[in-house]
Amino acid sequence: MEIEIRNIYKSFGKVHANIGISLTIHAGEILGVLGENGAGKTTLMKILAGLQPCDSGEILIDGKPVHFHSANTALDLGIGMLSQDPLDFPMLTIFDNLYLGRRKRFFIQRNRFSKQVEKMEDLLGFQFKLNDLVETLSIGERQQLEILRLLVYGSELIILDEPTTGISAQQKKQLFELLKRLAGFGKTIIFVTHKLGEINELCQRTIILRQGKLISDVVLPCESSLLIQSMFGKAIDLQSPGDASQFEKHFEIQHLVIKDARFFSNPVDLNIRKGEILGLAGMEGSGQKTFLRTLAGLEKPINGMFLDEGYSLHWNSPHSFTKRGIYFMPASRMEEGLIQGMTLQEHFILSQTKDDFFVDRDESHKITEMRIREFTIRGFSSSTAEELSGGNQQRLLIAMLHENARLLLLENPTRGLDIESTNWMWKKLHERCKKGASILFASADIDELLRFSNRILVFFGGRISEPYPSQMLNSEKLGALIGGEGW
Amino acid sequence: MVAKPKKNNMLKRLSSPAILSIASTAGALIFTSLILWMAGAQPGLTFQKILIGAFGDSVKIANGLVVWAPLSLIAGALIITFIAGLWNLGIEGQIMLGAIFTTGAMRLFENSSISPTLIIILSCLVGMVGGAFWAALTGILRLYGGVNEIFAGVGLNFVATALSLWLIFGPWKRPGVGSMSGTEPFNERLWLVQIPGYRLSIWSLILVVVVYIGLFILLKKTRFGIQIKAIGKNLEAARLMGIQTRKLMMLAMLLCGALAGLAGALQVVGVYHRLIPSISSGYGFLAMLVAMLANNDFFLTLVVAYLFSILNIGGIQLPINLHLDSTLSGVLQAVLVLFFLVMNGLKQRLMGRKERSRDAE
Repeated sequence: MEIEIRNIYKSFGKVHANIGISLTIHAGEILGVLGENGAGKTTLMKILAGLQPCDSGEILIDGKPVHFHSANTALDLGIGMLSQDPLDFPMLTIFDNLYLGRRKRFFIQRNRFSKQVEKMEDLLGFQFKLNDLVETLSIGERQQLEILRLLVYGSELIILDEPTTGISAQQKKQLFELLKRLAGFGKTIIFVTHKLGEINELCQRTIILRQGKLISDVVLPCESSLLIQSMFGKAIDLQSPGDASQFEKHFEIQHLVIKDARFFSNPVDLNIRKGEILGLAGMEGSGQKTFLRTLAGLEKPINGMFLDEGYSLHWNSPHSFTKRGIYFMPASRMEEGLIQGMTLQEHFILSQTKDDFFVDRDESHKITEMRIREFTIRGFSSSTAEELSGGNQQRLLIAMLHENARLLLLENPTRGLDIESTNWMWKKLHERCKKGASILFASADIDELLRFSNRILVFFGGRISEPYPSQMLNSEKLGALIGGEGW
Repeated sequence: MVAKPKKNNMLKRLSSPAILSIASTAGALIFTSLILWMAGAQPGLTFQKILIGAFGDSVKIANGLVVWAPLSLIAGALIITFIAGLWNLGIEGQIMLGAIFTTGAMRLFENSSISPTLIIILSCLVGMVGGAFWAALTGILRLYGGVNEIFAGVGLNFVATALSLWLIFGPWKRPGVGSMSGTEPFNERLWLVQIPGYRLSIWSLILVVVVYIGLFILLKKTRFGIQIKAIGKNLEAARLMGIQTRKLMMLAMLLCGALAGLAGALQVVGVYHRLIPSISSGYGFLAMLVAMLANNDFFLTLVVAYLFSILNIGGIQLPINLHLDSTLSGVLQAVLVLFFLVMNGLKQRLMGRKERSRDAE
């Protein structure tokens, strides 16, 4: 099956996810799709799998234009997609899971279908017991089950979106062998990832997306540095934020082991100095989020101590953390940061950690007006949070961080801001640092990390690096580390 | 950016709680008329009878207030938990436990030399402890046991009913045989002073006023009030802000339980002067409808509670006068709430559509 994509455009509001992407994929090929977060990889794949309509553009299968009305049409045409998280029903048996997506017949044809499945299993070397529950399988096996399901339904093209995120090295090896075997049968594989090593290991050819555009189409194997440059764009000349090692010690983390949904981290020892900015780099979901939340007292680590000038903080008591001036700012604004239906003034009242019983409305009104002016928030003290635009919500979140904060833990603090606002925001944050606050921030933007951090911790698949002084890094080196190379 | 504040305000005013309440009341009256008409009764006459039943003479007006006082107290209590995002369906049990604890205390002090006033005050306080205790059980189940407060509350309601029946037919039964009419009435000196000629006690009215002023200050003027509002609107954001969500949710439950317990206590010392089975008279669930219909607004709650009290009292006359079942007022109340919820849903859909079209611009 040969698939041709012509001039695909897709935007979500003002965000252009795919800009004029054209591509031809041949039968029996394993094609890599590489790009950083938000590059438009998943959008393109969803369009191809019929899960999302495109704004304009065409998809041709064997030269004939096709139109997808739903994922089922795509499946009928032989295109199947394996999503990032297994989309199965753990409480049902393997047989039921395989059978669920089938339509057309009212009664289950158990024997006929079982034979069909067994034939495919023989071909692939799988040995599933069809009456076992899916919940007894490992993540890797569940992935195999999904692939089996797609093949039984007659998929000729299989799309895998970041399939190696949750599985072990051994399972990854098995998966790659399986994919190569499938390609040998003439099936087409599209493999989406942000990990450079995997691309070189598995694929014969890769495309690289950046900011919605197809940047390059490369035959593999190829130098990693070339891929990195295409992935992140040219490095911008950056002023180094300098060395903070002479600063006074402020916080100390000892043998911290964090627990994420997918992994336990290696133990981390870290000194955070007064006025220092530490950047947390890594693809989304590599553990930065849990790391920040753990340090905010919002999640319990497996092990470890957190010392504030020698005083050991008690885990799992967020209130005692804020009392000591440790503030956290979540990435998702309306879901976790702000409260729908409450006014800006109420938000500022909530963000003060006073213990007064009665609230002085006049005083808080004054504070609110002051902050609105200082942070140029376009809104009133009586506006509710959801009435603000995204950028202004972000400003509100930062304005809510307490004046006397000593440690700020920020998840993507400048997400959704344009360059000018980002610079302004960092000016504000630097003022905090001059007053002696330390900042830990996670960001998906390599330039931002290099430009503003004194030191950078890199997160990759549950591993947390030693802090790198940012003068020792450049965008290529950091990009490689984020992609899991050079550890 | 704040887009088109003027238009937005217009829309808000049109869909304000007061307008919504009036519109749903009209809708409910029309719908109930339809039911009456189908049942072969004259809607106009029926409503007239209900009004006469509620306002016909001063005793009837006072009787309306006898219902209004506990209903208001309980609805006020529920507003605390509703604002904190807790569906405290265990309110019935909390009222019953208040009544049970109060009866227990009264029995204990009945023959002592303590002054009657003090006994009544003490017993009411004990009743508040009882209600808070029952609410605490729901709170613990929800916050530490992972049981949804709706199921925990409903379960505990059954336990409370069983407990009161066991007490009435067991340890606290009347000399001789226990009966559905309840425990032995207390000595008249232990009754809450009533206005001569009426069943109404001025003290329960005063309590309602005091409690509502207290609630208003607590929820509008204090950090606690703003914090539980935040919890109710976005639990996760509140937690991430460092608000002690569990502690505050527990406090909200305790406060609600204490006030429900007080309502139960008043039913014992002021109305029945003994413990009877189902002493809550279903006021808990009725109060839930009241608070919902008033959209957690204090003033509206008092108004709606009065409306419901009138319907309750007025409906009593229907079987005698028109051979209609007195549950008709229940139908009217329920239809009222359903209409309101539908109106509210419509409003949100309308607002939501505006919101979306604005985003798309």
